[in-house]
Amino acid sequence: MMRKKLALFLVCIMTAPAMADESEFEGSWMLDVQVPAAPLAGLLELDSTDSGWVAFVEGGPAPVKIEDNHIELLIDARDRQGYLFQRKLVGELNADGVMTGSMESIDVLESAAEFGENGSSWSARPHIDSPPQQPIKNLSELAGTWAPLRGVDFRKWTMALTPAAKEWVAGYDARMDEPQKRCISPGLVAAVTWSFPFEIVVADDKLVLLYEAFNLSRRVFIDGRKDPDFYPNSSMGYSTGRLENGEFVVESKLLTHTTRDFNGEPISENATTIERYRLSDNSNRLSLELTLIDPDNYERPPIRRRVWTRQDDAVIYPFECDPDSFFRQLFDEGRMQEYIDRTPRRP
Amino acid sequence: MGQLSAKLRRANLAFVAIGSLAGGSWFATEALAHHSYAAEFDRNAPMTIEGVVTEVWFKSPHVRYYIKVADEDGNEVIWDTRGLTPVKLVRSGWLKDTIKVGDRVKLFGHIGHTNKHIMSILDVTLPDGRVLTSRSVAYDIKE
Repeated sequence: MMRKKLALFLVCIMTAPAMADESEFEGSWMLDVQVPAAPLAGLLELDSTDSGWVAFVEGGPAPVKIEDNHIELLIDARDRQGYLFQRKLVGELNADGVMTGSMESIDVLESAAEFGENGSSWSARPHIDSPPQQPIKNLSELAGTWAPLRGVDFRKWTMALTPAAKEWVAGYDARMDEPQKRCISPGLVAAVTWSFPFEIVVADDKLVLLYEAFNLSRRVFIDGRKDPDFYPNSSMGYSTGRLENGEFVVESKLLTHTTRDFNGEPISENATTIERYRLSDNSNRLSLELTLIDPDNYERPPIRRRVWTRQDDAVIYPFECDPDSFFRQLFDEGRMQEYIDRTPRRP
Repeated sequence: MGQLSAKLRRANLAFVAIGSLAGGSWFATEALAHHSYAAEFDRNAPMTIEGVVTEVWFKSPHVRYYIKVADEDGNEVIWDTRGLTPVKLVRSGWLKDTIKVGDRVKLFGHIGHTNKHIMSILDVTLPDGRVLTSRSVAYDIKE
């Protein structure tokens, strides 16, 4: 009898899941939240510092609590209209090296209404640069019209700004300073991730990307040409692209000074962006991870994401923009002088 | 009441709260997403106004309709109201001549944080009784 009990105890000990060590949280993770209508994905970085754990989601700070194998993470975000809210993720690091949990609550900061996410499950797996399941073999596979899908991007609100960028944001007034209100291009980072369709036309030496938003267009040179002299800075920059491990990788530079998102975080003329495009779903889905590298303004590179579905019967509509009504509103509200006084704020 | 008399009424805030708690579908399809809507409009204060269209701007970045509305004291006030960008509206059949100068319309939407005579349109009731929405996102509802 005693032997049987001992054997049972040993079996229990050997088969019981081992509790993960707290140090195993350290590193980069790929975070997925299974929101039914719009799944979210983002890079989670966890660092153990002298003053405790720090976390970054998509390059922006996120308050975190870690104890034993338990983790709580608070991620601020904006909804599609710019209202702020927070997602609270609670979970555990399991013996198999995967974090799992649920979204316990959403704290509304500015009457945001991206509800319907409560109780969604989430997971985080170690982030490794795995090759795409469906490698792009020829850039002609990208040709066509692409319509945006919901979700994927966390729309992380707070980023790891430099002191100079913080000062800029503190003085930002979205009602007056947003370039798109004046029909001015918001710049590559914002425009590429907006919910408008776009078309890719493939030529021998370049891809031409035609965006419905603000009639924007860009050329991504793929022939390895030498950069032109004296190419001017512009909202969509100067882009070169290449196939790399089954992904289409686009590097852009020579951007104009603009803002990253509704918060008014600046992008400098020294910034570069890296876009990584992947195909899936039998070439009917295109996904993008866009990283902004701008040490003048960000201590960690912000990341944005977007997914599109192929919709070749769609037509890109002309986006004729007229700022007249914006200026008329300023006039009607007696804020024209204030607008003029803020000229230095408009890059 | 005169022909232009307005029916201004506060939407039932309880309805908004219930709609929010129920899953957000009431708001989730709004998509004035290419600028910070939050900086300008108060989504906690939806209203309905009724009046006559005096000007139509069917252009990006947003369509605008100037509406002559009589306030509670009978004074005529011009409201600056706006909807989605035309490229999104036309895909749902809301065209340049759908709302014309002289039309009497009823608009439901969010008003400004500071300027109480601007409105972001959520729904419009046309003279023939049809109700159009300025909330949908033509290319954002595939899955």
